Amino acid sequence: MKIPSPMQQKREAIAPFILLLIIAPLLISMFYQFRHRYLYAACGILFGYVLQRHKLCFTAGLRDIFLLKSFTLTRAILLLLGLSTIAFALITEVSSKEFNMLVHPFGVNTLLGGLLFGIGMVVAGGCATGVLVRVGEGYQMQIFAFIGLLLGSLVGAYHYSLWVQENVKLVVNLQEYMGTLNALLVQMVIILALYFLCLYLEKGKRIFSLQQLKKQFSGNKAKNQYFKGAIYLSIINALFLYILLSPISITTGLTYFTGGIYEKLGGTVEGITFFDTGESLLLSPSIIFVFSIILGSFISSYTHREFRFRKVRSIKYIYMGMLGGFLMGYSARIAMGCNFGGFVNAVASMSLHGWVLGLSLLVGTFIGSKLLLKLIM
Amino acid sequence: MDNFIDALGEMCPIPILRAEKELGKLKKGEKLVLETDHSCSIQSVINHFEDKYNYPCKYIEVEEGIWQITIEKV
Repeated sequence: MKIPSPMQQKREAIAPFILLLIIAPLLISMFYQFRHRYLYAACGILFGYVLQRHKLCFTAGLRDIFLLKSFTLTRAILLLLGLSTIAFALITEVSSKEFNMLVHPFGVNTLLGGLLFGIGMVVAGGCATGVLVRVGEGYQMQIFAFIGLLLGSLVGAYHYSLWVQENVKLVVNLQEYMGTLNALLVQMVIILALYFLCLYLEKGKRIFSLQQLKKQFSGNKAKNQYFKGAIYLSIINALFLYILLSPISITTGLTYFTGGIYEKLGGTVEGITFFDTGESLLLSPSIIFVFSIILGSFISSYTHREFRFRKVRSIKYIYMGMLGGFLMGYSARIAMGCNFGGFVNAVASMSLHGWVLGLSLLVGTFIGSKLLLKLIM
Repeated sequence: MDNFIDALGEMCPIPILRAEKELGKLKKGEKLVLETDHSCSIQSVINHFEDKYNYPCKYIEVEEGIWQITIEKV
């Protein structure tokens, strides 16, 4: 093992102080009516930091079911899903504030969007969120995936009304449909059932012995990293909703950013429903949030001696990154969200479209995995 | 000399898939060294081989952002 130089050790010691500086204003803001843009940056940095530090990867969580028969990350994501659902229900019930939850209609657009997104994220080596984190770690492939993501989201925004306005009207808000408590119970039963299904598929009959189950949750330190990460991420997710009044979404910020740049370059976004926000696109705080994720990931990887510029092994990866990114950008618009805003936080918002997207994402990931093996093995 | 896979610049999850293929060819007691610059690899490779196959793994840092993971086939 190479012994870290004093300079490198210093870097590692600095990380907790950076985090403290970021967390303090967030905590203060919880007790005051205070919604500054800085808070978007703070949440974004923490979000990126946790994802990088704990290696929490949504793509691997779905893809490795098919490629490695591994369900560990899948369970970590289900933990995030369950905790966020509980947190969102509590926050919206207890607080008297008005929340802007992610409840959207669904239809063919959701199915097709999830399918394309699933393929895109496997081919690009990361979902929209994952690409941001990888860019912060210096991966050349995902820098190109990021460019593809931006371009795809612009085209997707142009096609948004084509897909969504005409055909899609079915909105199911489980919370309104059956009451918060019932909706919460139904969702938790489904999530728990999926969790134990994954555990069973991974461990077999061993999980029915209490001793084995205990061992599962104590022993493997590396594995526990994922679950710790999922818990931290749920806390950030809840904090963001409570302070900033709407759940985290990723691709919205990316799309506003591309639209804003396109406008600056002389393009016109007038008449495009998605860009009809009434204010300058580039001033949207959601843009601050997504770019802060890159910064948070960089801080985490740099302070822990993991950052380096990672050149691709073959030029093929650059094309795959671009293509996968474009697919994700486009499909996230027509499906009204990526795997975070369209699936995790949509489910936590108790909207049925989240479950529909989750299902089609799984199918898309399966197709993507087959495609990946063809492309590179 | 241990068997060596250079997986620098590979995308996820190719390092694991290549290691799995290579380990299949090795005899018991032989070791495989996987060099990777993928930051997720340490956790995912060790998880995969220790859990699924019970192969002991250890890793060293070669350079900032590059690691060598040694997997022993048992």
